[in-house]
Amino acid sequence: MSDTPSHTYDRSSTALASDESASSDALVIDGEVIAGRLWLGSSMYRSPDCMLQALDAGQPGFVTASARRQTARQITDNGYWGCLEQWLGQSQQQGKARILPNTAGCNSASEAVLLANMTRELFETDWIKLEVIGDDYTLQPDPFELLEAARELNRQGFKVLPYCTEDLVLCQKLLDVGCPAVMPWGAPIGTGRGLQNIAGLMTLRERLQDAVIVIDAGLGKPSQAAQALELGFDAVLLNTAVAHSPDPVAMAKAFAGAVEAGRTAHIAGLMAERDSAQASTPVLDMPFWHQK
Amino acid sequence: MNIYINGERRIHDGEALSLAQLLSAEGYAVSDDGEVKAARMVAALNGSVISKTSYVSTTLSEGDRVDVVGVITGG
Repeated sequence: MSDTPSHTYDRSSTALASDESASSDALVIDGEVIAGRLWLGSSMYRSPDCMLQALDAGQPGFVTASARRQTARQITDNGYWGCLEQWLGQSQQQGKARILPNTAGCNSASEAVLLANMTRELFETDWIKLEVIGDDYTLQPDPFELLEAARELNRQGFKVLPYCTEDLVLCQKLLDVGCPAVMPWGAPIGTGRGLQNIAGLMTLRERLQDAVIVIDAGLGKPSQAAQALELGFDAVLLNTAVAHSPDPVAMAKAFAGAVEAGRTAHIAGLMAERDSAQASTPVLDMPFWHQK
Repeated sequence: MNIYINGERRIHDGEALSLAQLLSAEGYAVSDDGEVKAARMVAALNGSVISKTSYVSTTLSEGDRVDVVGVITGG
């Protein structure tokens, strides 16, 4: 494991939770207001311009990115990042989206810790979406390596947002080691299946009432994002559903609307389900009620 | 002296080699005196991130593994 760094980054231009300008329904993680409950990935768009238009339409709270070995030319000729960096700069000045690096592709705690430290230097942020994959077919997180990496990165001052399963005990332990939120999958990455284990997710929501829980991965439709927010989850993170839409800009807008609708519905309060029908229109004084 | 950069072997026959000199020779925007012109690159030596201010003072040894990473899009 790497030594504890001598510094951490705190360059957020967004307001603190105590800021009077923060709305009463602001999403607050680790004392910082996150500008939106829809978080978007930056991958798989057909062009940098398409990516930026989609981000404009989605108004995400976080935009995810990553780091890989690169040649000198790849570092110099990085069109996507050049555009995204400029967009993020403007966005952060306005208190909007910020960057969320990830450790995608890591299979062990040691790999994830090293890559996280690299991304901290690259992106100048302490936020990290921690991914440690345990199965290459399902891309299911490895809970044991994930917890070990989370413990170490929290010790090093990172703000660790772990991509995990909906396992209650795992999520509790991730919170116990200092993670300011947990991010259980809705379904395997890239599948678009939505919330596959609603019962398990609801158990998580009910047992960890004070925790920030973000549904990360597996969402394919705006209705699935709305469902996640309706059920009380705090935000959603997705990429493929927008980037692989024939019209990513329109789809990003649709997801933004769905997230807003779901959150508003959750705050409003959902009606209780019933087993039998109950007429909406009053039957009192019906002139021919049950007359034959 | 064998040095591995991003997993590829390089053979260096000269005198002591600094990390700054290696990166410069590989075409990265780093001068021999350690000035880093590319903001978005990070170098690691044998699995530990090296501060940009230490590129000149970091001397490489036989078998060292240097990784240079840059930004990519991600989900």
